[in-house]
Amino acid sequence: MAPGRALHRLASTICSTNALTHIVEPALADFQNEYAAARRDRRLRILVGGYIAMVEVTVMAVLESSTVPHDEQRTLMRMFAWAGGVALMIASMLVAFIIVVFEPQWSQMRLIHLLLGLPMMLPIALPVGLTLGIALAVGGVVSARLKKVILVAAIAVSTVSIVSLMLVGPMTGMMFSRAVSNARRIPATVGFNGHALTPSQLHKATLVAQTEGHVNRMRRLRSNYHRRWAMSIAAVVLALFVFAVKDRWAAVPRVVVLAACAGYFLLFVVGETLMFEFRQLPPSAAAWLPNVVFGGATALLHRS
Amino acid sequence: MDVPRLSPKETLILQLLDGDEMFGLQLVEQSDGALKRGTVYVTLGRMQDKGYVESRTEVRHPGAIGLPRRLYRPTAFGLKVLGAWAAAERELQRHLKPRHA
Repeated sequence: MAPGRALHRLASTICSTNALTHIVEPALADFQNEYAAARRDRRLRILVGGYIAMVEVTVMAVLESSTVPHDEQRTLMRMFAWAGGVALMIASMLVAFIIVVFEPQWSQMRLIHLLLGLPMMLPIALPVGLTLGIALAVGGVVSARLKKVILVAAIAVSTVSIVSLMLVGPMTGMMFSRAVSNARRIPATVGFNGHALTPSQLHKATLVAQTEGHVNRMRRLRSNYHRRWAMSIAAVVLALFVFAVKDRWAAVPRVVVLAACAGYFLLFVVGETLMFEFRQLPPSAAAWLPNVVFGGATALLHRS
Repeated sequence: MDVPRLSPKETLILQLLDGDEMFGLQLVEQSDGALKRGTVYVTLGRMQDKGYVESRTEVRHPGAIGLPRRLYRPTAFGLKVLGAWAAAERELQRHLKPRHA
């Protein structure tokens, strides 16, 4: 069977016909022929090299297909540069926070342990970076074409957040917990909130807590599960909110956008407090509170 | 009239083709690392839009798997631009030589 057929199907949906015919298909045809003509022992190497090249070709073809004018491309580059810079700054601040909190254990831990916290930082650093990037780089009202590109970027950030919070984060969280426990010379635990649990483990732990009558733990675990999903779409919710604000007031002060980002993540804490301390909210409502508030505000701004 | 531009990669591709027909991957193999597999097809696509090269799909034998490969060859215009740029480069070097000598 010829390799790269799924990639061809994907490319046919995201590239222009011209880019597909003149860039993607010639590259794929050469790859398929090279693979078919290769000796068996060389096929794996050709397959890996060919797929890497095909991903690069597809990205190039998508850029070639782009109808975004030159000045808007420059705005986008500026926006992504700001977004990357801000995200890096926030990630550094979160790393500094970890260093302060776990300072007594650092003598027994390695620098690599800091990186284990990265998957949990990305879902905060990337959406805030993207939102501030829009505010800092895009002047005036955002055009419909730019909105489309930024929304695609926001969806990509959300996908990274889902992978981080659901798959990579729990794994690295557990490794970090073990490193801290080893440094403290105490047994490793998954924590009361279950940050180091995968979604399926989280579900099982919730059922166990429910069966054993640990209401507080059950509410915490349920809230954690919902918060992971709710936080994953932060980039999309915040991007839509900034679009609505900029549509209403073209020259919105950057400090307002910064405050909105801080407010969004603060609402997670507010929801958790209302849910846990005052028992005013069910866990799911507490976790989705920021998205409901910002979604509502976006809708109101659009209507007005 | 705009002067037709020729990037270093486009120059190399026209030099490698040298009147022959080649596949994209053959060009990469013959360039000794100067052309990359991930970008050569974009360059070829742009050259085709500019009219420097033309292409056709190969004739497949029955039972062949996968997509038919695309063969590239330089156009008369492409070779003319290559020749003009080479002449311009020679002329530039000739003017610069006495000053450095």
